[in-house]
Amino acid sequence: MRTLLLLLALTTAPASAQSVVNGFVRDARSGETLIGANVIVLDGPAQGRGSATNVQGFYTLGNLPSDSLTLRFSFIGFSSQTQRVGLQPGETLRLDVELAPEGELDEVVVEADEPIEEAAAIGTIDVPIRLVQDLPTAFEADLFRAIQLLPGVKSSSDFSSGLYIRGGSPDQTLILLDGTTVYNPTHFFGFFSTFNTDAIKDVRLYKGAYPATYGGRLGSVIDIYNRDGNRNELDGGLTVGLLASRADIEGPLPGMEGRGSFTLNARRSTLEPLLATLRENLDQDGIPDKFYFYDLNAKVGADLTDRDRVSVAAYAGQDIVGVPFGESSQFNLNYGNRTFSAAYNRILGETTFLQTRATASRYFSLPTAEIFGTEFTNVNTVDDYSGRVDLEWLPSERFELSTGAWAGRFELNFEQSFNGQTQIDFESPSYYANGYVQTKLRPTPDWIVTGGVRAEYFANGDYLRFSPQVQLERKLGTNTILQLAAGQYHQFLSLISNEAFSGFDTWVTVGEGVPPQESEQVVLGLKTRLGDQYRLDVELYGRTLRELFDQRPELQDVSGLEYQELFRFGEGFAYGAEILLEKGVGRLTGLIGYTLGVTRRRYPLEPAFTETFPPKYDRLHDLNVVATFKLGRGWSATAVGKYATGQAYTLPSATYTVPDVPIVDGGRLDGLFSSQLNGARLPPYHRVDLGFKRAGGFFGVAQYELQLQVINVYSRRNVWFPVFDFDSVPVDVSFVRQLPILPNVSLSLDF
Amino acid sequence: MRRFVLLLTLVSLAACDSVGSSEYVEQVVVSSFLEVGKRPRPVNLTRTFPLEGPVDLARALVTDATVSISLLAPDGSVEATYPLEFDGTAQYRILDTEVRVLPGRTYRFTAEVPGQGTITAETITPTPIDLVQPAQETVTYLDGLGPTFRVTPASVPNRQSVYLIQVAAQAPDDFEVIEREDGSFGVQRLFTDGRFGPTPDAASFIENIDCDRRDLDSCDFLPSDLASGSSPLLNQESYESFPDGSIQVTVPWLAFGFYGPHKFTLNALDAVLTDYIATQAVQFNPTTLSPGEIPNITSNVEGGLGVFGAYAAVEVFSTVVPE
Repeated sequence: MRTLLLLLALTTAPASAQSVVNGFVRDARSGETLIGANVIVLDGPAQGRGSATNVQGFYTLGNLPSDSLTLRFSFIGFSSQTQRVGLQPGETLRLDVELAPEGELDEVVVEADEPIEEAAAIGTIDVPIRLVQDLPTAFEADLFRAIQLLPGVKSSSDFSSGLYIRGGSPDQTLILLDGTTVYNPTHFFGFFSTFNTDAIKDVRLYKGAYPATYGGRLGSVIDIYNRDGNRNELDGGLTVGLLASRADIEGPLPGMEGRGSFTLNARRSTLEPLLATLRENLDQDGIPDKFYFYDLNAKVGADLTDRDRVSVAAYAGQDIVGVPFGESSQFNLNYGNRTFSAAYNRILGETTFLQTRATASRYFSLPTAEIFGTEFTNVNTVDDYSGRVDLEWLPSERFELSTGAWAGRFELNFEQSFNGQTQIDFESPSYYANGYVQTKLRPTPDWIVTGGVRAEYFANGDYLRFSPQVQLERKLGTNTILQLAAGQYHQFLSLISNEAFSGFDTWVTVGEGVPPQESEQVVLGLKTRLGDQYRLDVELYGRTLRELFDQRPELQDVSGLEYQELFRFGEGFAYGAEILLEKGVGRLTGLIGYTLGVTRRRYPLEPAFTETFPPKYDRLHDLNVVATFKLGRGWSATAVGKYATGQAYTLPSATYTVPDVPIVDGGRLDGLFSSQLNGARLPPYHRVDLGFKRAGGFFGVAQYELQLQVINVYSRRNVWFPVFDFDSVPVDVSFVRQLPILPNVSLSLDF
Repeated sequence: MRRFVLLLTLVSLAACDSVGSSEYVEQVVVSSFLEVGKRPRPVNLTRTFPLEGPVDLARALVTDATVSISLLAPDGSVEATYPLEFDGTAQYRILDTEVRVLPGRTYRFTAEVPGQGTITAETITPTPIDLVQPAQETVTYLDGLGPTFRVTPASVPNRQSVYLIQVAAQAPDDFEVIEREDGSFGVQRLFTDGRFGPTPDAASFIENIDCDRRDLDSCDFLPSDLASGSSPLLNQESYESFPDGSIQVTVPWLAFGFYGPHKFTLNALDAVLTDYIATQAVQFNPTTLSPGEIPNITSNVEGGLGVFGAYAAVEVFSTVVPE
């Protein structure tokens, strides 16, 4: 304890009459704050010291000597800027900086500007939105499909945007949009994620061992911030695509030019003409009479003073599907999200930053069906209202403290009915509260120690859990850093889903007899710069999984069951290695990501799942290559190549039939027998996508961007899963395949 | 750095894929069912086939086993043993024609199969279902939620009763294949006297049936497939219960493809059949599992596959007339 106090004293004791520089870093064109922009001292006694802007775009460099010094500000995609400042003893200098976007000036930022210790925390990746928009994708630019290219992140199939990160299922990733939890991030049954890439400013992915400032999920965090809007001038855009079209408008708030802004983004699918044509020309059941999705993002923000800012953000997204069949039968899907957040941020002092936020999030899934006069409903809603306060204190470069609290009310409603009979009516209103404290110590210039603990309470079931997290970083010279992180994590929710179809996704919570899920993670990482153009990240990870709960797959009727009888309880582990080589500058940019990963699960009390087995998304090898080449004259080309070990599946060794069954229609029950669940592998997965983009002026009234893309250029029919036909002897085995070759065209106009 | 590379290499080696595929081993499949109050049903013993063949149909039947079913006393001792004999065609039949399956009792199945060893299984029979109130003699299609009847529920040890309803139209009309104007083949109702036609929803399905030639066997779907069906497994709590302990069963309109007389069979399943049918369905309709993840069926048969299960049943009749 004495040692700890001494360490704290050493790291917090300010040198006499030290000075501070702080301020916002903004986009010069729009006035938007930049998250994760770097500032570094280029000369003097503090040479090499640096900082990065927080999620509000605010940086603080404390404990600077009273001297003249040169600061360099940089951010990917923007021209760097150098500022010479003179500091008086004890002075706090507010220095707001505006960086010009790439292309407006010749010099473009190099990542090497950032101190290696600021490059990224372990397991953390800043997802460049420009890359997301340029990647060739099926029909729509998609944030989650871009994230699937990063090492440690796997997809389940071409048809799913679900993220399987370091052996975790999609519900183990916390998804935050402007600080508000998003419970179902998909459209079109999981084919797309809900996030309109035009609306996004910043995305940060924490793949594992994430800091104590976050909580509530076992595995990882995706923290998404929408754009604040252009505070300097009115701006608009329109994009027409094969599947969906997008429109956006943003600009300064009236009377608050330069201090306030708004943005409104809308996206809607445009399949109706195609469906109408199909309905008119094909006399066939099953063609939807309603089939669309939409997203609306809105954000308004204003600086009240140079220390106070308020903002309000809202999101609404929904999928509507209606499929009539037969004389009077109908199947309807209706699911989506609503989020709202109101934030107030204040710079309390020279080195203290306060963020407060009220959030509301609603997820609803309301499928209904009426078949031959019999009604089915399956209602699942989640309403989450919360308030949170976060405080950052950065008194010196040796010591930083973050603390915060997040409390709210979570209400789950899960109701199933069949033919007028309620089968399950489960309501679970629950209060929850989280609090955390996290410190970052730099006892010497080469060591960084970050530690924190998060206390999490969920009233339903009266569960209190503590989740500690620690991270050690050791600089090895100026270009390399070695990182070690470990943490324990808890999760109070679970998602009942099907990886092939997210339209029936149902959230469930802990409760009586259903304890929180638990996981321990450890990660060892090495980040290094290779020359001026390349950066190499290598990480080894291992994690345990316990108390996993998901719906027992054999349940056909849940009526009368105790809550815990709905679930099977599992455990597992995952470990692996990830290598990411990035090239951020030059005509050729891109990344190579490789993952060596192993994931195993088991459900000890379920007869068919007692032995450890690999889940379907487990793949030993995963290699992704992304390359973008600037061809000149406004043209650029992007290529994406993927290779992965075949997914695990069950290859039965035997088939059999139980004949003369008196109680089932047809009188027989066919069966498959295998000695190992998911004991076989599908053929390896590989695919290449190509995209070309041309940007330029559009008759002097707008800037245009034309994208021509081909997905799966050699039409590799990757296998998804097998199906078995018992009507033939021997049983016929065939395979359902994934996406064939697909073209994609989109045109964007920016006014 | 060198240590880091070494660590990475160790992880790589540890991660070598140990997943393998399963080898085929022939097993015997039991199909044996006890209905409470009835004579034990004939037993089938068959063999598994390798997934991709070859299939030797001549070896499919096990014909040389020694099979018996025993009634156990509450202390687990054998109270009575009933031997079965192969009938020379396909099944093993109980010799004693007076034997009836008792409710709430434990039965043990034993088969000695040359080359396969001893196969055993046990089950506890449910208590019987008694009809308290029959279904309406005539019900109008889509009037209300469906025909109803009341029964005293069955019981099984340590869990709520689970039911499965079979619905069978007793006089659905016949259909023939016709050539449509566009040259394709479909089906058409024959309007036979005393037979009944399809409901409007079923009729619209039948209109869309396509056939390859003028032969019902070449059709992608048969109208008769809509004449009968089984429900999924239904928990007792899904039915309305009454103070006298009885429950009211509603047969949803979804179950009716044709008008006319129908037979409803309400089966109360023992735990063995419940688990077998529930997990068998997962193999072909995986719901929350990933496609291709196929768990084995939960079976009570030791030394083989299949099921030795028990059930209680009651039959109810009603006639459905058009709106």
